Amino acid sequence: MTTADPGSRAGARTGSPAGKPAAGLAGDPVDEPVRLQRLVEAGPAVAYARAAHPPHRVTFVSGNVERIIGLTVEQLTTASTPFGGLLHPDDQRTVADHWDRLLREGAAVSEYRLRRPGGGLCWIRDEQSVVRDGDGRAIEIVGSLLDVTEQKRTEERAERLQELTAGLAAALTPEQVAASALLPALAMLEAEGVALILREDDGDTPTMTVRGAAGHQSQVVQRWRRLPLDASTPAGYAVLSGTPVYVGSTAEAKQRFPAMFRVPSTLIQHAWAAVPLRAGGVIIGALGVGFLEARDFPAAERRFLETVADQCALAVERTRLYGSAATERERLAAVLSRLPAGVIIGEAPSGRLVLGNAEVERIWRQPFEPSVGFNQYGTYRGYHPDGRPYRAEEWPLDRSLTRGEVVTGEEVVFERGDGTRGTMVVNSAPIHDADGTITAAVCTFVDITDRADARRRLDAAYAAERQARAAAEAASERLGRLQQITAGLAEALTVEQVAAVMVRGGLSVAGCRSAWIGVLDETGEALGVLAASFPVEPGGPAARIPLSAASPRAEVTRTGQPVWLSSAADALARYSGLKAIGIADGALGVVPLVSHGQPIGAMMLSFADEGTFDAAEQALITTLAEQCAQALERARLQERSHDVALALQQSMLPSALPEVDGLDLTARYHPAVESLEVGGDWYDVVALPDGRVALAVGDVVGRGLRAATTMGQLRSALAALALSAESPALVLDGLERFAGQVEGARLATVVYGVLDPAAGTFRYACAGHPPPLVLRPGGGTRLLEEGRSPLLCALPAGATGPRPEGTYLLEPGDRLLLYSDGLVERRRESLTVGLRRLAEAAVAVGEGPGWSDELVRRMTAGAGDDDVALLVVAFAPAFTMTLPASPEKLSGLRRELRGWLAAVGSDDDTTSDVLLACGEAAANAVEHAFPGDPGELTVELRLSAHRGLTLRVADTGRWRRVPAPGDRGRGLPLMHAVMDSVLVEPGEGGTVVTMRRRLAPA
Amino acid sequence: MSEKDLARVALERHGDAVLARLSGEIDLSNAGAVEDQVTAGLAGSTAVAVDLSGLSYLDSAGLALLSRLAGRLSALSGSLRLVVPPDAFVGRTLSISGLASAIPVDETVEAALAALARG
Repeated sequence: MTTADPGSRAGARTGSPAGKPAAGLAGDPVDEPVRLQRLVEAGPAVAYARAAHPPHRVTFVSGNVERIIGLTVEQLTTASTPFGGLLHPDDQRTVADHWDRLLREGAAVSEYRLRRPGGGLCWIRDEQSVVRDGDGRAIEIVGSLLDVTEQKRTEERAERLQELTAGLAAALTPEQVAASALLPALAMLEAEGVALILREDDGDTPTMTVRGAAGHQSQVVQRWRRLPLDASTPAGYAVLSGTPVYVGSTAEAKQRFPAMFRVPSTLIQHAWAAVPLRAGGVIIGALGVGFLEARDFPAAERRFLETVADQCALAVERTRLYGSAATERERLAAVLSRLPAGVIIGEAPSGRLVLGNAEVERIWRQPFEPSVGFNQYGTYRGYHPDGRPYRAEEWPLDRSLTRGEVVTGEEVVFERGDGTRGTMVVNSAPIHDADGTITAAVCTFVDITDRADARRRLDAAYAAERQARAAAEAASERLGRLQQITAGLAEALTVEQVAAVMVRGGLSVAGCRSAWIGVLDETGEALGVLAASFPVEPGGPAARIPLSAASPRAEVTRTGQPVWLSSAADALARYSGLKAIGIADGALGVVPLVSHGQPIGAMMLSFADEGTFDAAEQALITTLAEQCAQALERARLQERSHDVALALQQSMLPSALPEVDGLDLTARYHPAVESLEVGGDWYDVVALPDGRVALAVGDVVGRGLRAATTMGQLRSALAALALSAESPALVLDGLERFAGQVEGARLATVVYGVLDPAAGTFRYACAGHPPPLVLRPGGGTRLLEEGRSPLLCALPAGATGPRPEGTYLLEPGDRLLLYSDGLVERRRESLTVGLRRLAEAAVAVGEGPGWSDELVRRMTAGAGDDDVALLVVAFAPAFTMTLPASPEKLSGLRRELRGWLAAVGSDDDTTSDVLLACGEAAANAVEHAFPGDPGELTVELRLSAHRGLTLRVADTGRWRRVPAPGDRGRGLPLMHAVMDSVLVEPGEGGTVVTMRRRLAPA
Repeated sequence: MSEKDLARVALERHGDAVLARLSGEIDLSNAGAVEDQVTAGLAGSTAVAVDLSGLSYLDSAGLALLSRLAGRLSALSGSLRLVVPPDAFVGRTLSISGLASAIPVDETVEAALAALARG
């Protein structure tokens, strides 16, 4: 400490700029500057003071600055501008704006980056207050600095990986892989540039080519576009050796890679990293990163970089699975239809939109119109972050088509077809032909509206919590213990954990005998206990307190005002509702928990001794309650942000199942509820071009973002394989090879099968996955236990010979269930027992509306915390019957129809209605048939997606145009009355009646 | 199932009234035959109850039959009552067609006969 007198300064500071009452519980010495200074220096925050007027020179800084930020006191106090040249250029504007706000509002929090003198950047959270004189003039600014680098980096890494995953899932070409992956990596690493470099072995000498780059200055890209494949560069070395290369300085580079310096003018960088891209045991290229300054590569950063490289390698490999056939329109459309992102392909030079997938319509909530020129973009409404509308030529797709621009991660506020607004992230890249001419461009986008909202809410909650914390610290000299609570709160993830921390904190800080915290339950009419320092009997009086009760806890929650009671006797005299509750004998402090101005619960502290609360004690307890309420709110939001992670996972599951005639497809995904991590269960349905349909359910080992990411990759790979490989066994073989490249995909389980709706055959193979279950109409069940092979990559390739398959012939009315093990597995229970329970539960649940939800509910009730994926295929092939148009054939038709309707789970009323409608249509045809030559009548009945029933009755004669008076006039109104729609189409060859009706849901 | 036994008609005399119990299915193929059997069994009686509780199908040809029977009895100053229990299969068809509001309906045979006896 050389530049200021810390004692007097720190002592002067207890005047508390935040406006809270001057603190100090009774008995504590108030003026203890030295003790306070020691407290500060031992703590994690740097205290400082600086001039209130520009250039805001720093006048005091606590001695721990060097330990915490790595800056010396001199560096901070002698600089002519705040932080001198240490402030990151991108943050200068933020900090400048910050001064204005600080002086206007009196207190503010900002976050910015400082360049450490030793290299590298650190993130600083700066909480400041203005100290004013008696006339309100600002004298100085006091504040505290916290190094939040690690926290920021962790948050940012998770965010970038999310971005990456979503982007990669939509990538169809190596260039798009680069476009999706490089920008997040660049932003994360503070690099000069990042490049995706792929090995090319076509020519005589193997080379490496940059397939995508971000950030690099143009002369760097020019120089390094094409590289020889040798060990003279970090990238070449990484590819040849298969190990990541980190070069932290020019000196190191000159020693290890002298060849790099033969053209010195192009080397503007001073540190490099090159990580091999490994796919299927082969190195296909490298991810190269360059930095303008010498630096270290901390372990967390290396892990991030290697994860990005792994993901890129897999995605590049996956794009190769799509192969050259991806140019075929039909195949491309099939691939696009199952991507979890909106994809639009535009053609150059016309600008026509030639293809859009189903997600486009889902995101925009308006039909996608192909085949319109450049003007089309004007009909889509988008806005820049500053609210300016996108002009037609500003749309990313247009920029890629006309200028060859690669657009990544552009956030666009867009207006949907229904007038609502959302936010999407848009990527766009041109496609070149062999001559380098732009022939088309692919634009992908993901709707991030919900994620952005959740992020904003969480940020707001953190800000509120910070404010409460600052106030708490100002209000009490018991700083250390409050900081313990604060630290404990920061680690508390759930609402219950927050309450437990606060109860412990209440005991240690306030010195009370017992503590109780409760919040309003869902009804809003009672307080439910969250945590207590004493045992609370479930259902007992301390577990639930009606808001109407004559109890201090109910009262403070009703009024929002604290209640201070000097003794238990005082409390019992005033509140009859307290009698049954075991409390200490002494004073009682009961305070509301208030969030957003609304009481959400109460905290009660009871003390051993009787006595009144002085102002400082009341302030301390109130402050504890404020902190508690803010932390509860934050924990609630965090629990909700689990939902955000869940949304991400679900965005990687199919957003809609294909519609296949004769099949009724239902999927259920039931997330794990207790843990805050998403699992790796997945399912997919791919409609194959020949009318068959591929079904898959799988389970990836592990949880969290990584499992979700792996799951996305496996699912994409499987869909690509389904479109190319002939048999389920071969598809699983291909998937196993793919999974072998990813650590996280090893030991994944999957069941995969192809169903032919025309023949009713289901051909399947099962890799370590529980067997599919068939539910027969009328209650029979059958496990499909053939076609079993081990988990993916459990054995060396080829160790077990060809993978077996099973085939099952589905009967009309059969329901086929594919599911993940979470549905059947229990601890300490064999799988056989679990499978039996599933069969029994399925029979017990029956086929009524909502049966699949009920089945999942029954099977997961009381189970451990695992996620569950369930795919149900109800096999309902179309009913077709051709019969002579004569009256005596009608009863036979009805008999057949009854059987078919029962098989598809039609209820009695629906069956009766369909029989009547069909009977009337058929009777009309019969009545108007030519005598002597009745002709034929064809009845078709099919079940399509969402249990829509279509009934078609065609005859070879012709109906009377005008309904005859009397009897026959009744037929048509009856048909209209019992069906959702009726269409009569008289034609040359006969009359066709088409009627629709929706069945109750499965 | 041949046209003949698609539906069965059982006739009972209760004082001046006739009770016709119909069962099975009535459609275009047998409505005429069922109508003939019922009218042949009336033997001059103009107080008629038709029990539909045993029917598992009734189409517009059957509805027309009932409508014509009601018209004929009405012309003779007689009356027709239908017996349709709440859970009857054809109840929905009758109410959709509007016939249930044109012809008096009772839930039981006893109620229908009692109403006919009161005149």
